[in-house]
Amino acid sequence: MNRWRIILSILLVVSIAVVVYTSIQSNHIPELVRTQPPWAEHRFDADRFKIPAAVSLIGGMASLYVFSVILVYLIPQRMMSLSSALANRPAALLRVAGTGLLSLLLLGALTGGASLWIGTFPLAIFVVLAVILASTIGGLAMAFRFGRGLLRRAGWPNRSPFLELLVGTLILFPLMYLPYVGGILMILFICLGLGLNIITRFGSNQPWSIRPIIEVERGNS
Amino acid sequence: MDRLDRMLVGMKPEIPEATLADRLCSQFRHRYQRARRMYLGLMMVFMVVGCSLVLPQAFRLSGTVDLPENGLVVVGTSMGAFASPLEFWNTVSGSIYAVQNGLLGALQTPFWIGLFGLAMGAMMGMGWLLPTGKKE
Repeated sequence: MNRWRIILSILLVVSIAVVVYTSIQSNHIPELVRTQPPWAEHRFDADRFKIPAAVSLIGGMASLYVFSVILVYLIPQRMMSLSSALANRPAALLRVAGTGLLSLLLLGALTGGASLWIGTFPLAIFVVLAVILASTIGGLAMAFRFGRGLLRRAGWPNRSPFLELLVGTLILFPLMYLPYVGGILMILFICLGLGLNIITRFGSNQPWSIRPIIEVERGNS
Repeated sequence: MDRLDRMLVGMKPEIPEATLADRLCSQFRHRYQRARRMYLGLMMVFMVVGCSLVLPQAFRLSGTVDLPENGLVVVGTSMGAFASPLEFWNTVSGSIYAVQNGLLGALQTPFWIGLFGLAMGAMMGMGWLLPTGKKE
């Protein structure tokens, strides 16, 4: 049996083990949640919405997979650009992660500044949502690349992209639920996902340049 | 900037300064490298100053973020907006004002200066890392 097939099998078993482990742990999410939103007081009982950890995790993973399938149909070219930008070289990976971290800092500062005035507060919410969306799409492109790489090395090349996505999502997503390292991995994934989007200019592979504006101005003058 | 980087990488490290063109090229390279060093230095200064002003106050913040346990809680509680939209809006705007007042009260001016410095440093860093020209 090919060495990579064994590695792939082990990784899948480990990811399933993580899912089972976090399902057994009823408090797998840190104690972040204690109250309901202020406008909901006396209106809804949050306990009514409590769902088992296993359902939460599997539901999250399944919805991420379905979202990635929709993305593959919706923006196949951009998904390919995003996943191709994730090179194997450590220097390139560092560049992507560094760009993501710097973008997070910049957008964090923008969010902080925008939240100071009621008129710009929606901008802060928009930036937060955009960061979540961009890092999720980048993360899914990363999972696609990871799944594809693993299947190729295991001797199963040119499989369906949906299978590659499934393998990548199955292996990478549960890692974020690992105790202690999960949080660090989540931050790393967010940085990489956002960095991929920024470096490829949201998968368009266009440079970050204001040349079109300058050329139009020169053309007008 | 990265197109220039690639051009410079492609050049020989030691150009014999025989002709005027070579001398000009060499001078240009030296000036460009010096400008790049200054850019990186300025970026690091912004980042370090920003971090040193932001982090101490950020660590002193004692507020906790209450996140919902799952999305269903958010969906369920947001139904309140349909039941009584005016009350919902009043509560939301009140919460926003409370957040703003809390932020302004808890964070001093150096924090905001640091945040600005951090943003400047991050922007300069991105200018250094991001592709600005078409790849050949």
